[in-house]
Amino acid sequence: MNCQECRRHLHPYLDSELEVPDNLSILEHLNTCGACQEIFEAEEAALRHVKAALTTDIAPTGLPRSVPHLLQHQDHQEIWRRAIAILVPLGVAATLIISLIWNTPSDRTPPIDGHEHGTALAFAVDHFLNLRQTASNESGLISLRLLAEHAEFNRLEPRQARAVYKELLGREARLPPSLDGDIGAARADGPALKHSPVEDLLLIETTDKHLFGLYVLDKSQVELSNLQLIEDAGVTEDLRVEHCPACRVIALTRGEKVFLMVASPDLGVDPMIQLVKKTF
Amino acid sequence: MVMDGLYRTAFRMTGDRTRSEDVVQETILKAYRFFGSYKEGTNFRAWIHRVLYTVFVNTIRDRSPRTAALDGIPEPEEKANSLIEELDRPTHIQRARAVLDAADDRIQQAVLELPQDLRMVFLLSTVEDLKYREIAEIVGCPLGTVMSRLFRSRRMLQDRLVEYAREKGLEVNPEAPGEDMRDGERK
Repeated sequence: MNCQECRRHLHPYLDSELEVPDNLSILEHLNTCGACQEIFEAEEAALRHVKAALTTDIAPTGLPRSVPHLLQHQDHQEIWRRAIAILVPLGVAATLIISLIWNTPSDRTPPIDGHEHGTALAFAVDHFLNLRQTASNESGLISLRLLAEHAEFNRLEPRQARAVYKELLGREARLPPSLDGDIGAARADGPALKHSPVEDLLLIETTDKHLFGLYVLDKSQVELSNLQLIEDAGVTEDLRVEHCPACRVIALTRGEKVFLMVASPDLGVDPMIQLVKKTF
Repeated sequence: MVMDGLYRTAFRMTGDRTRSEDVVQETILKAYRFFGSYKEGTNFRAWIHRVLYTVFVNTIRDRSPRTAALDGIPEPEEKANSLIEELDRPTHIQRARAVLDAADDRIQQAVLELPQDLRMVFLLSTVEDLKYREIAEIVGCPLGTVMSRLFRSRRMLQDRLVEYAREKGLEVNPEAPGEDMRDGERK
């Protein structure tokens, strides 16, 4: 590679856009060419400086406002648009009357229902974004408290829990062998089983920090046939489980990764917990 | 953080804090509404910046209905790469130093002076670290156009900062042109 070819790749190189062979060729050339090396270093330093100058701004606290507020606001706007389009042809008088009716503060807009599937997904995003914001600046916009802090768990009977584990061990090779023990011992180490008070959701945290979510399809009859494995959140030491008290969103956070799960009643007997987003 | 990135991009595009907050709010709302279009396993930041781009273009259209796109300058016929090779080493170094000597507010102002189409690509790449391919999807243009816009935006930014350095008498004198060739230039 000569200098001309090398400099032609300057920006893709600095932006890490080159394929490995091209990257290696550039590096080889830079190792032997002082002029190009100087150019690349100068341009890289300049780009870093520019980036630093442009990343000083952070989003204001309180941005975005809460999702329900935004959605309701937008719904109101949409209602107004439609109302005007219909009422104008009917005459000014009718428009005024009906507008007054619509303008009266009321609960005409259906309240945001966290149990609605689409809205639940919206909540998932909301929680993700605000989770990050809350963690970074303690603004407390929407605080997802730790599940253990606000929930009164309905623990399964040991017999039932043991059966669940055995069933899981039979189906899931990912479970470590150490789990092949008495569920009672595992529970003694901590809240191995967490049963959401909000939904028919059972979270099982193993001693190896594997976490499984199970949806209890029939709350009155907690049996294996009524349990559905939703996701293995992986092994971690710093896994946090946060359950929205208002809707069916469960956020599992581990470092930079967020696992979001949403329970929806609209999906029948199909998987009722969805792993919405795995990595951000 | 995703929210900071959205706000930064919106602010650098609008140049106005209130408008940028509105753009971000609208972006979040649209993201909620169309969350189903996000494909699992793809870059969430790129996806939500695409939403933001759409919102921003819509705000421009709302303000001046005859304008349906970002302001910009005609795309050059020359390939993006050809923009790079014509500079010699002293010029490269001189321009890079002008950037390094520039204060933050001057850089921010110079970015605001970039045409919107170049500025958007510049911000998404240089500040938000999105890949060329992702940016091409966001702004809806070919990969080559993204590269061209990116290189031109960087070139224009340097031009403005060099100009500023000259105005302030801060110009870093380039080294003698002949030294470039003695320093191992290989053609």
